[in-house]
Amino acid sequence: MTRAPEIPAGARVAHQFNDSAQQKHAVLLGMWTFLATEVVLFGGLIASFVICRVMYGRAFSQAGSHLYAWIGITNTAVLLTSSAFVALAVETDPGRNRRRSLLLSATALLGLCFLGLKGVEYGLDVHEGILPRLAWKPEQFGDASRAELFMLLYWLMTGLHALHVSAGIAVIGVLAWRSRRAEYAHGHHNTIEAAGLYWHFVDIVWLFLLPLLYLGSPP
Amino acid sequence: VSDTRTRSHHPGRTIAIIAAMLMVFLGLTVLVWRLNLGLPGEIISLTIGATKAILVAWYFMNVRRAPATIRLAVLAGYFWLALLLLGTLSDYLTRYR
Repeated sequence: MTRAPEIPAGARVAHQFNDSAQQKHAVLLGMWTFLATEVVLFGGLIASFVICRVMYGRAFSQAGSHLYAWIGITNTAVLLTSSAFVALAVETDPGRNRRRSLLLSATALLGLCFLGLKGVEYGLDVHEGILPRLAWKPEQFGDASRAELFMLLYWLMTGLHALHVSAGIAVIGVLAWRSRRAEYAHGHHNTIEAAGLYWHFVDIVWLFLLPLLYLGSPP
Repeated sequence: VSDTRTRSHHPGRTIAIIAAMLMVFLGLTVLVWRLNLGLPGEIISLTIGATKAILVAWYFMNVRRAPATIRLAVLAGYFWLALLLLGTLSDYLTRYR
């Protein structure tokens, strides 16, 4: 009896698929379907914000001027760069594990940079008294109740986004470690491509949060 | 299902060019904000944001090389988002004016 050759985990075709191409298609379609539900999740919050922005224009514009726009802008550059790194990791030749691992590690590090800057910003926000209920100084706003609504949406949207970034860092970090162990050396790195799609999506959400939250007020 | 994707000869170069374009667009967004144009400025910033999102989806997320079913999933997501935004805004923009 002859033993079947050892097939690396990344290249194994699960029994329900005809071949690796079909498996890859299913993985990517599954991730895109998940992302479509994420679009609706963030879309609901964005729609709420846009409605309030239209209805309470002056109060929202004034409230927005209390945010640290330069931190938001810097974080956009950080996320865009991280997206480029993960795109390069996906395009890296299957045999170049070290390069792929380095690119994924750089992506995760930039994600940590984003969270670090966001953490500093949240600290400044609390100091400024713009955290509704918990650290709230209403006297600094012309229309405190509508400003509170703005800040509530700001914390909700950026907080939910930060949770997504944290999950992305964990996934990309594990993939960087597994890449280093040459687990994707045989070309079927579907997991990396799917995780990359998720990371880009998180980047795209931020591309809309920046103009909506930070840049809707005069500099 | 056949995989219709083909790899370009210089994927790294394309990614670098797109990354540079994204940074230029970010610079433009900051410029528009500094010019303090009011509502038109906000609309321009959001349009630039949408352009950046399309570049990321098309080149980094490889929608340009994706098979039809995946493109359909992408479009379905954005179609529902458009319905959500247009439906809700058409109500609020007309009822409270």
